Amino acid sequence: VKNRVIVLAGVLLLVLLAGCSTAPSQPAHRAYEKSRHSASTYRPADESGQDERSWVRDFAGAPADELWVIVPPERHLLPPNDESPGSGTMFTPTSTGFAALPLEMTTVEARITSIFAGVEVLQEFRNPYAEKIEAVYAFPLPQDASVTGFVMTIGQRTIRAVVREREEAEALYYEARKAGKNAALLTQERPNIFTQKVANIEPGQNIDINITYFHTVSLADGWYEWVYPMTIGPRFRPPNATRRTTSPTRHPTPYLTATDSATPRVSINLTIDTGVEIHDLESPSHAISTTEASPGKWLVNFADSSVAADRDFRVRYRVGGNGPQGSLALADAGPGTRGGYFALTITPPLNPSEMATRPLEMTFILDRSGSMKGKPFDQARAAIDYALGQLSPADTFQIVSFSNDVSRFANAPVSASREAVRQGRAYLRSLRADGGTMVIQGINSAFAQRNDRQRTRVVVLLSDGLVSNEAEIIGRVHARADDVCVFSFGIGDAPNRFLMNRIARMGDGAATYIGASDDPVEPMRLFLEQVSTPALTDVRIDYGSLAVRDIVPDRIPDLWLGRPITIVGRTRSNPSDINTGTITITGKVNGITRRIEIPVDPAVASSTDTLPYIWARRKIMQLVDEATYLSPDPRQREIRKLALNYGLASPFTAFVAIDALSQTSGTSGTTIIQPLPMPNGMRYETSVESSEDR
Amino acid sequence: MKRLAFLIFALTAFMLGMGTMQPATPPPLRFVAIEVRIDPMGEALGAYQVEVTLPGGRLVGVEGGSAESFASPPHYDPRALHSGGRERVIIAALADQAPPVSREAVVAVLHYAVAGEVELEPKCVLIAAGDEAANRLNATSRAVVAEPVPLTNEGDGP
Repeated sequence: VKNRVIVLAGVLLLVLLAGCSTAPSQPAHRAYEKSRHSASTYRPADESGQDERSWVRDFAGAPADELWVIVPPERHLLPPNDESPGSGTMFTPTSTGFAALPLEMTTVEARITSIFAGVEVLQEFRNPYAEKIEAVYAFPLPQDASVTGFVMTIGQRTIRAVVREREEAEALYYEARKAGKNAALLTQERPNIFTQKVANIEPGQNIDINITYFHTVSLADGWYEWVYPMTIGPRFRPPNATRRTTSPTRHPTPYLTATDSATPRVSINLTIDTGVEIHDLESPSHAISTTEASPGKWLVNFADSSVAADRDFRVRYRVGGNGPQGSLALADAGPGTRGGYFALTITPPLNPSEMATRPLEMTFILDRSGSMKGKPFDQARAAIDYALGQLSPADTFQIVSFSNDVSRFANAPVSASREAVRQGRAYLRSLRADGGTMVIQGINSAFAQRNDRQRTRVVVLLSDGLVSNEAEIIGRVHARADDVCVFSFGIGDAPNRFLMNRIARMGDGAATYIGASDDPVEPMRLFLEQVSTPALTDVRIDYGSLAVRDIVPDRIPDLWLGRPITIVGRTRSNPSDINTGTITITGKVNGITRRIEIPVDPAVASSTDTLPYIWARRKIMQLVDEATYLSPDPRQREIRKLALNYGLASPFTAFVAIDALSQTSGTSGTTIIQPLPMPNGMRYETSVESSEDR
Repeated sequence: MKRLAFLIFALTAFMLGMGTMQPATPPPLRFVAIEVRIDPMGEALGAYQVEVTLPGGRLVGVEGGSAESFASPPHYDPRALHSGGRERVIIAALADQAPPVSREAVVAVLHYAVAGEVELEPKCVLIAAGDEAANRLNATSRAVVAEPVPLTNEGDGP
C-alpha cells in the first residue's frame, strides 16, 4: 500500500508539474527576440485559438474583424494595454465634433508614364496637444500599389525606414515608443488599406512621412484611369464572422460627421506623360485644372488648392489613335544581376459588328445594405433598370437583392419579355436600402440557380463592397461553376476596389465603377456590349525568342471587349541581350482562331525601372489569392521572401523607422487615432451608427 | 516497485529542476546610431557604396550624413540585408547638387537596435567610390558610434 501511495503521489506530482510547465502566453513586446529565430510561428498573445491557416482566410494578415467595427466616437476611450501605453487611446471630441487632429495635410506627387504610375505621398503630422502623442492613421492605397519607400522627417533630419518581418518591425516600434524614441511604423492591414503609427510626437512638433509606391493605370473601354483613394468606408462585419486576425491593429476606426471641421485635406500634382496625344482629360470625381506642358504631357491639379479627403480622386483620358493591340515594356534586374522583367499588354482584337451574339442569362445581385442608402443605391438601381430595357426576349434575367436577408425577383431566371421587364423594374423600385451587407448570401443565391446551357451565364454584383469578410467572398466566387462569369460594379465614391476587382478576376469577368456623380447608363451599356460579344478564349502566348519565367497571372483569362490585360514576368536575359523577335498570341472568338503579333525589340520596347516592384507586388497578390483556396504555408514563406528581397510592404512585412540618436522626454505618449471622413454619398447615420445595432 | 518509485522521484526531481529554470528574459533593447565616414583623399566624392556590419545590431533606419551633398538618406539593398541572416547593410548614394565632399565626412547615419550591453564594434568596407565623372576614387571609409543628440525634439508648443 505504501508503495502504491508513493507511486500515486509521484504521478500526481508529475501531472501537476506538467500543467505548470505550460508556457505562458508570449507578450507582444517579446516578439523581437523570438522573431529573430522563428518569426513564422510567432503569434501575439491575445490571438489564441487561431490556427496556422487562419491568415489565409483573413487575407494573409488582414484583420477581418477588428479594425472596421464601427463605434460612435464617444465610445472610443480605450483602456491602456501593451500597445497603447500611458493614459491609453484618446479621442478629443468637442461639442461640435473633433477638434484639431494630428494629420494636417497630405500632398501627392504622381507621375504617369505609359501605363505605370509612380506616386509620392507626403503626410504632415503635427501634435496640437499639450502632451506627447502617438498618431495612428489608417489610409487607403491602390490595391496593386507596390509600396517601396517610407521615410520619416523630423525637423531637418530624414530617416529612411527599413522593411522587416512584420512581427519584428512591430516589436521594434513598440520598444522604441516605450523608450521615448521618435519612430514610425507602416503595416498593411488589407491589400488596399495600410496603418501608420508615429510615436512620441512632442507638443507642437512636426513629423512628416513620405510614402512611395508604384502601380499600373487601368485601361477599360478606351479610357485610361488613375485613381488615388482618399478615405475608407466603414465595413460591415457579418454576424457569424469569427475573431481571427494576425494584425495587432485593434483600434476601431472613428469617423468624422458632417459637423466636424477637422476633415483632412489633400492636394495633388499629377503629371501624365504618355508621349502621345491625350484626349478628353477629365475627372469624374473632382473639379480639376489641366495644363499641357508639352505634346503628350499634361499637368493636373485640383481646381482648388486642396480638397477634403472624402472620396476617391479619379482622372481619366484617352490617347490618340486606335492604339496597338499589344505593347511590351522591359526592365533590367539591376547591376550585377542576370535577367530582367517584362510587361505585356494585350488588347482584345474584337469587332462587335462581326460577332454573332449569344443569348444571355443575366443575374443581377444588388446590395441594398445601409451603406448604399441614398445616391449609391439609386445609381445601382438605375444601372439595372437600363440593362433590363436592353435585354431581348431571348435573354433571361433574375434580380437577387441582399442586406440582412436575401430576396429574389423570381424563383428562376425569366425571359426578358416586356411584361417581365416591367415587373422587374417594379421589383427594383420596391427595394429599400437598409441593414447589413450579407454579400455571401446574395452570391450563393445567384449561384444556386439551375444552369441554362443555351445562354451565356453572367452574374453581376452591384455593391460598394464595404464588408470585412472579403476572403470568404472571393473564395466562394472561385469555387463557382465553370460556366458562370462574374462581373462587378463598384458603386459610390469610395468603394472597396480591392474586393470588386478580385471578384471580377476570380470570376473571369471585369470590374466597372460608378461614382456618385457618374451617369450609370454608360458603364452598363459598355458592359452589355462586352458580355454580348464573345470573349477571346483559350488564349495562348508564344514568347518566341524571349525566354520568360515567373509569369503573373500564370493562367491567362478570357479577354473581354475593351478590357486589355497586362501580363508581367521575368526574362532570363538582360533586356540588352534579348534578340529581336515576335510574341504571338492566339485565341478563339466564336470558334475562329485569332492571332496577335507583338514585336520584341529591346531598342523599341519601353523601359521602366518600376517594373521589378510591380512584378513582385503582383506575384505577392497572386500568392495571396491562391492562399484563399489552397494550402497556405509555402505561399506564406514565398510572400515573406519576395517582400523582403524587394523591400515591399506586404501582409507579412512592414516598414519601421526609428531615430536612435535623439530622445524625447518621458517614455511614451497618448495614442490618438486619426478619424476618417465618411465617403461622399454615404450617410453617417445609416453606415456608422446603425452598425452598433447590428 | 521500488525501482518504479525511484524512477518517479528521479523524474520528479528533474522536472522540479526544470521548473526552477526561469525562461530566459530577452535582454533589453537599446538604440544606437553608427556614422559612416568616407575620406576621398582630396578628391570630390560623387558616389559611394559601402557595406556596414554591426554584430548584434538590427538596422531600423537609414539617414543621410552631415555632409551637405549626402544629406538625403541613401538607399539600402534589401536583398543583402535579409539574405543569410547576416544583417549585411549595403548602402549607396549619389551626391546631391551641393558643395562636394573632399575630406573625411559623415555620408550616412545608420540606426540600429541592439539587444543587451554588447560592445559596439561596427565594421565598414568601402565597395566603391567615384568622383562626379564616375572615375574610381582611392578613398577610405570607417564606421564609428555616433554620439546621441543631447537635446529633445521639442516643438514650438501646441
